[in-house]
Amino acid sequence: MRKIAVAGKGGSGKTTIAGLLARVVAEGGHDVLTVDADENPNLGISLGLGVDATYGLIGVREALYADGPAIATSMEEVVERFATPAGDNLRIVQVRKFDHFRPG
Amino acid sequence: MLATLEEKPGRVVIVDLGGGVMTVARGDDSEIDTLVVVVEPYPRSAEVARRLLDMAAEKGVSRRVVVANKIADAADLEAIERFLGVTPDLVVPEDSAVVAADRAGVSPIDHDAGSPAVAVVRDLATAVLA
Repeated sequence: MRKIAVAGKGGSGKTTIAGLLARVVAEGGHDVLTVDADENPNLGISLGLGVDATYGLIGVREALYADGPAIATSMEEVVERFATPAGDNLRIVQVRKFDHFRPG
Repeated sequence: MLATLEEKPGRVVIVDLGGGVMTVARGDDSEIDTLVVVVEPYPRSAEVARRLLDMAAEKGVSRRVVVANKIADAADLEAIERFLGVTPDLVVPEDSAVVAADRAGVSPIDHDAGSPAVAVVRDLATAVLA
């Protein structure tokens, strides 16, 4: 399982590159999970999800706290609960602030 | 957090990190195996890229891929090499189709699947999956 991160200065085009990369890899038949960890979450648009659907994606943080404080036990659980289909072989989960960037 | 994702055959995880260096600074080498660093031909962008590459090397991220973006001419590419001190692995040209897609709020691949930028990203996909 490949885990690829795309980074760069804000405005460098990294979200466009990340979205295109995800589309191309998904076209190739891989099961692609995209994670939008940007403070300014636009990855959905670059995936082709559309503007309204992208801004309507529920953030994992908001979702977890919607019914009071809750803790997801794993990223797998977060994916199962909150990942949104964005085309064939392609899903997106929006994390906004990746301040738990390690297990636990 | 990515370390808790289950290994699944054929699964590829692609993370769009926040701009700048902090998201990588907080991570560790169990999180990702490949860091794609996108850099534009000007000093502040190259400085962020240089710090990202240094951090990834310190953390033991095994593969680091440098993508020069919005490159208009040879001078742009030389500028990145001068500011960053490395030759980019892939070069994405300035592409009016990407700008048009941005304005329309659609993916560049839906706007023009044959555009130059999309072609380079196909090469990037081959590189990161190798």
